[in-house]
Amino acid sequence: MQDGLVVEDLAASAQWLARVLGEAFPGIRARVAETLEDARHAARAQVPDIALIDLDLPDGSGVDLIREFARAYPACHCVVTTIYADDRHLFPALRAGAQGYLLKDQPTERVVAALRAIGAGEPPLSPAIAQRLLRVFGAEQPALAEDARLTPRERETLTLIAKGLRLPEVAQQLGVTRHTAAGFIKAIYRKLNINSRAEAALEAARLGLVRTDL
Amino acid sequence: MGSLATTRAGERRVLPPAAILALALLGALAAGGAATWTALHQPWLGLTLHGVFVRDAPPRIVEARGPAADLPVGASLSALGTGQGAALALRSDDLVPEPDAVHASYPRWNAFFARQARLAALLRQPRLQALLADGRQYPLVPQARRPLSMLPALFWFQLLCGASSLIVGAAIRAFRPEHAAALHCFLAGLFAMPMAMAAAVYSTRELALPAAEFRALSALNHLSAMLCCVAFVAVLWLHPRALGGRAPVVGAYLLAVALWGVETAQWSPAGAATANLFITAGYGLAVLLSVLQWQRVRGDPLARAALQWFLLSWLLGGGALVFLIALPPLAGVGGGALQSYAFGFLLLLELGLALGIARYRLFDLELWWFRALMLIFGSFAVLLLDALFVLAFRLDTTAALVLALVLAGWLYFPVRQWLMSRLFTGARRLRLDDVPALLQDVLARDYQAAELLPEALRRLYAPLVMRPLPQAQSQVGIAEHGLALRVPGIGVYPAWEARFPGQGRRLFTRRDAQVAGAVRAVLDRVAAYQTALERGIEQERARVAQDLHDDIGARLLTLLHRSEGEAAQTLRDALDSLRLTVYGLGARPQPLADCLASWRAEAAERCEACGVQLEWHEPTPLPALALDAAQQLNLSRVLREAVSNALRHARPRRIAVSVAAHQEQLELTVTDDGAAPPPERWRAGLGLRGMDSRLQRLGGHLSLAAAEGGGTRLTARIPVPPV
Repeated sequence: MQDGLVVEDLAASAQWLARVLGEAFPGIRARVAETLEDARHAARAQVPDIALIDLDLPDGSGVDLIREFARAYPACHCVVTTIYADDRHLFPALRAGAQGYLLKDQPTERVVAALRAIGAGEPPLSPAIAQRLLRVFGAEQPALAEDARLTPRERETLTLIAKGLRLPEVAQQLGVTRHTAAGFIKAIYRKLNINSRAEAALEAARLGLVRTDL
Repeated sequence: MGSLATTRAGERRVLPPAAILALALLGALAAGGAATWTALHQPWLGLTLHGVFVRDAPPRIVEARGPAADLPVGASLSALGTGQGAALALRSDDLVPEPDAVHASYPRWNAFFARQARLAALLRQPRLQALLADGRQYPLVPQARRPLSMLPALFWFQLLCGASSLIVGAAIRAFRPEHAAALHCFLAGLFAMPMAMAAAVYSTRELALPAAEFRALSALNHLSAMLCCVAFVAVLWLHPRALGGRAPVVGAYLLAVALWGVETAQWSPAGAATANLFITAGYGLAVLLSVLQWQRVRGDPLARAALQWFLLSWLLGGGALVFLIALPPLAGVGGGALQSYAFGFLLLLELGLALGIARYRLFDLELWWFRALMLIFGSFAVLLLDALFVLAFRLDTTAALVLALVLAGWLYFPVRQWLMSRLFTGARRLRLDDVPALLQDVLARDYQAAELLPEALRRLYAPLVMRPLPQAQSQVGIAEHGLALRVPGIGVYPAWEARFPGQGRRLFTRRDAQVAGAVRAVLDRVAAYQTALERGIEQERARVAQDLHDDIGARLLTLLHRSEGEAAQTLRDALDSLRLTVYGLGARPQPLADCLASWRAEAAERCEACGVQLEWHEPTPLPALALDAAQQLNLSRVLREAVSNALRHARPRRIAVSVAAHQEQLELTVTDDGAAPPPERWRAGLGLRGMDSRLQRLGGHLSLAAAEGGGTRLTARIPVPPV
């Protein structure tokens, strides 16, 4: 991680997040943007390796920015920052393509550890989010392609996390390495995004916004 | 439906219903025509005579027309003669409408007919002399034929009753051929016709009929009456439940014919009253059978309803018939003209039977039939009371009538209401006054919107079975002859069907349907209101949350990122409270599983950060409890504090958290194997006191003990009622 972007309008929080980035990835260049527009400019100038995006910005919702970045800059790790850990706030962001989330009111060490984990390919997943994900993936849509459905292992992972188990315990229960288990979680996030994009496309096609005969 | 006794599989409907009805109509017309022809082909004097109470006293002239126009009205006609030879003295009992009413023994019976023969022969003479009691004489030239216009109303009434009975019987047979009892209902109507028509001819005779004709008609009347009686009893034998085979029925018909033969051949010891005895016995048998049938249909509301009406008509109508026709002769009392009107009850009886078998919208026709019956009995009561007052109390006619009307009026309505309340239990149970209280109760209990309608229906009708319907209903409807009520759903919820109301003891009526429609409309409004209210609360909560987040949350966050240590922790707690409060506004309690999952994840993260192993024990299956916002907040704090204590002071290798729930109590135990001093030596520091006060706020408490093998065990208990 060499370039990081913090999108946050509260000055104190923005500085804190920049500091946290520096602790998690020593030597990283941390830029701060206070609005969506500023963030877009910054990204056009230099694509960040990791972006910490607040949901509540003066000129719009961070969810839109996440969606744009996820599509335009797939290499960028988009991470949501928020004080609300419940699924209602986080879920739209995750569906839009966020690859993780940070809780802004956590102690610094925890946040640093979480960031490092994201960088190492272990996205966080709280029980509440996992419960919600189970519900979302529970209603199977056969119309979706193979790669948008959960594999049995991934579903099991989700169930264990929903019960409160953490990554090491999950890996132990499944009989896989920690790395493999983390891979499951990443796959789940990716499929959530595909899922929601597929739904959006279906919706758009149904509304006649997209020509499907092209 | 088990109550439909089906006939043999080989029997098919031979003729379409319309054809059967047409045939019946033709038959009735033909018979009526024959009766009329017979009645008209009698010599006519133009006299209307009434008998007086003393049998051998001469009859009184009530009207004089045509050939007898000169005769004075009110005088007594003591004899008729030809002018040559002795005149024949007239007696009142020559005029008796029904001979077997007065002349039960064979000698008297034969004597009566002998007199009739002489009178009839006399009437066929070209000229007659009428002798009055006061000695005056008038010549009379009898007319060859009776004019049609001179046939009294009673004649047409009896003819009509006979014809209608036939048609009603034929209708039942036509539309319900599969019903074994329908055949006998038809036979009852079939035999009722000649019975009524024969009686019509001879009961409205002017003075006399030729003996042979009269005997024949009387015999026809007796035979038909007995067969008719057997047919009615046969219906009760077969409907609604077959009490036995068909053999007894056939046997009964044969018995009737045999007894009639015995009576006609004048071998019967009971004389000419044999038929009446038979009919009375038949009625008694019918009462017995009806009791048996009533017991058999205990569990079947539809069959019971059918039987109820059948029985009412049978017991009342048949009873009246027996009372008016069969009993007086047995008691040796003349019934007079009332006897002829008794055929009206025959029609009512036939109708009641038909209703019982037809079962078509039984619950509505019943009401009208019942009202008709009550009205007839009411008028009857007036007549009876009038007669009573005139005869027994010797009041003058006007006063007697007035008193009779008043008394009957006072009695009529209470008796009718009482009967209605006993028979129409459905209507009584569902008083409109009860509905608002019922609705209030249903709404006060805070049912989910989907449950409002079925719960209301359950309380209104106490049905045995309730089920949601897959297809939508457009309006409230009664199905299956009143067994089921279908009500459209409220809001987006499905329609419901209720079956077997009153615990299977009654049927749905139209009134029930109306009430259901009204109740459903109210509940629909209520559900819509509830939905709107919930949406309003949700929107309000979101607004408050937004405000709080924007303003206070932002400030707290800013402070948090500028502070450290104790202050930072306090700020974190404040943010935590903020979160939970915002979601506590109107949120439903969270399932225990979800709360435990987040607590476990947090504890595991903290232990991992400190290099301590976490063991988590929870019962499987997890009890279905739910925690509200206050319980979630305080319990999570207590757990966090307990884990913090262990991590900070005890330096354990292992922390175990176990969850248990029994007897409406939730118990969380945190055990560590560290080196903390024994609990008795602990000062109740800020942390412990805080934990205890949190738990007490929830109605629970904290307890500390030394764990086996060193270390501490902390147990938090709070009461949690099951969901």
